[in-house]
Amino acid sequence: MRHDSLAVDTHLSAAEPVVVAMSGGVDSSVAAYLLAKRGHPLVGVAMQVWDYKKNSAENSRATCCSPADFCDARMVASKLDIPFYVVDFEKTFEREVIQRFVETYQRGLTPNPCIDCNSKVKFRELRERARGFGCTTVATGHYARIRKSDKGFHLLRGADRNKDQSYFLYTCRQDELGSTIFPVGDFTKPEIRELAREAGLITANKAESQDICFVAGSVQDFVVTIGGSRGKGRFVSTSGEVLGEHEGIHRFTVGQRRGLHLGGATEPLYVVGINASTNEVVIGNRSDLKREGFTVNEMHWVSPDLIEAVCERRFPIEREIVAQVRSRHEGVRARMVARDAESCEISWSEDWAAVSPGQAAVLYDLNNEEVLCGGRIAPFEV
Amino acid sequence: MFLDLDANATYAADERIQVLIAQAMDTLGNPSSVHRAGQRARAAVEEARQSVRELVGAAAEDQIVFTSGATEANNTVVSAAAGLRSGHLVSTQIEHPSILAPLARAAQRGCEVRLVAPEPSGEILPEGVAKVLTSDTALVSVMMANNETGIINPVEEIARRARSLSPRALVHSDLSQIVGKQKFSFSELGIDIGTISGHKIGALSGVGALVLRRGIEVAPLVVGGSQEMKARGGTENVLGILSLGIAARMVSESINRRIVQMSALRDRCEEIILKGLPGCEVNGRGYMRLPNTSSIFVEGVRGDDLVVALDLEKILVSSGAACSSGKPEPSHVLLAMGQDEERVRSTIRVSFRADQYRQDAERAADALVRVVMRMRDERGGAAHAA
Repeated sequence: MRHDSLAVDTHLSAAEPVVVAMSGGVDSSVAAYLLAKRGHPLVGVAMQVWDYKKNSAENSRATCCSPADFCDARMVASKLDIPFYVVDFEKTFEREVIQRFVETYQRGLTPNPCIDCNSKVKFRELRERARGFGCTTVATGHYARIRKSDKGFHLLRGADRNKDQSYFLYTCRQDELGSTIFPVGDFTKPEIRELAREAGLITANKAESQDICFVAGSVQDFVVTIGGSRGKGRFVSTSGEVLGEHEGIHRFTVGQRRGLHLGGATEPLYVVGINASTNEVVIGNRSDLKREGFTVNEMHWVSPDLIEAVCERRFPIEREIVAQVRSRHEGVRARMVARDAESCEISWSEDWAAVSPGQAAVLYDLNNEEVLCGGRIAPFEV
Repeated sequence: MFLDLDANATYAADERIQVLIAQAMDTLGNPSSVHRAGQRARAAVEEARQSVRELVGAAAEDQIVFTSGATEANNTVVSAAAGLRSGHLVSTQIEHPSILAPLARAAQRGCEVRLVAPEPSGEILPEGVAKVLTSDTALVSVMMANNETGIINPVEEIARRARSLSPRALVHSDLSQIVGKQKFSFSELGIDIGTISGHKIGALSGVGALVLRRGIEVAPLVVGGSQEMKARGGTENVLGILSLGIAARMVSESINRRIVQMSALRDRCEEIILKGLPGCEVNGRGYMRLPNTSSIFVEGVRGDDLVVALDLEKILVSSGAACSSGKPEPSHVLLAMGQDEERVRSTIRVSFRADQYRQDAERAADALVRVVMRMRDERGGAAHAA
């Protein structure tokens, strides 16, 4: 049954080969396996995005997409009897992902490199180069689903809510959704591991990759190594009192509680704001994190009906939605108002969540199932 | 069927050689054994040695020493020379890594290493080599044909200069790529040592040889046995050596026909590409080149991607030397020729076999033109969308 549902994802021509991005992890291995099982001609591609030898003294085994992972991917490809190539994306990755990651932290914001990687590398350059190989369709091991209706393509959360990665995919355009397959999106992680074992894939019992694949050690050290430090700064209270000194704003994210090393408070302390121009980190209580709403910039419109509304400029566009404001967040009901195509205002309905400027806000329908649109949370005054 | 246009990476054994190798499988005694199984293996090894001697035009008194391949042979030469008194070593920037890496190690250990740069054509000029030679130079090593560009260097003239300017130097040439693609005679080259590789002429991989002029001795790299006239320890790779002997004999018998066929294939392929595809250039065109090798700059596409796209069309080429690391670095040869990195990364190498036909060359060239046009379209389209 489930295998048939793959066919719903896309209208693949049977003869044209599909490029399947293989990181050497279990998810993309099974993605390739499921497509191979359907008898589809495949081209396995491992994306060489970062030179771990050059950029890290640490054991590269801890990350994904390292040479050892490519070796695993190669073994899987060989088992499935499909051609496999390592393709070099280092330049684009450094420019679009690494530099933006570092600069965002240095500006006192919280980056999300997986989203940049998906939008600029996996779903743009990989697609372009796949077409050079004669392949228009790209498959990845993401936990998300694509459904086609008469209006267009719909991006849905993965069947396994614990593993769902639709949050990272909100920059996908309609043409990209129409030429993408997520073979594992209909399965749960345990099912994927079972399939991998069934197929005898070397990656079946492999550990999960880390959140940020190119950082083997600490994120903060990485930011300083690549981008340099902006130096120490001060912790201040919401009323402006100086509480202490910190090692640099890149170490902090709004909503963060750990690692502040500020004693003496009766209530838990949080980072409630970061001011890059003064190099100050604003400290407050949980209630100081509460906001009525926030602005989202750099909008991407994903669902066909919203795209239509934006194209026809039916502003203001208003919707009741569920807003997911960081990668591990279930989503909270809110109201969206868009007055132009570039941004929108979100106001919480009942419950609320702390938001970190720079992070993505992805807006789902009220079933919390379909991605409607998404963008970056704009900086705000504290 | 796959069309193998990557003969410079490995020249896979053709069917006749495969059959002969298979027939030889029962000759697997230890050549050092006294009994008859050993005697048969010894005879096979010596017969192969004679075939290699004839292949390279070496004199009866010259020595052929079998090794595990050209890499070991080159390492042996550099290590031996680096151990000599002067420590002044001369080679070129376009050598194979099996010369460059041991030279780099010798430099770390205090040797003075001078690497001559090629002309923009890829050629190493005798004058350029002569400039860095001293009376104390211990090694002069210049490859005869480059594996990436196919450019043939004037080794005979370089050897002559080396003799007069550096009388104490070992004069060496890596002959791996020239064998089977051009007629030459080791004796006439005037060099002391030559390196040859088995799998570049249709033998199995894992076997190669040093050719040593009469009276020349090099300190062995691998010690621990008195095999190969004490020049290389370890039980002989009998099957590999046999395959090299068989391949050598076949090449010797057919060298004229091979050259004619390969140059026709190469010229036809280049003609179609240069005519059908604007923005292409053949490196070293018009200079002395191997008859089977084209190093082609294709503007606007990544060489690595072109290799993938052609592989999916069942046409095997490479984007430079065969890459063992998995992560392709831009060609050190083309960079040394003064080309910028983008151009280098847009270059592929096509290298024909002698047993291919005109229609193979045409099919390959047509496919290349078609694939490159598609890739240029995609790139243009993507640039437009962005």
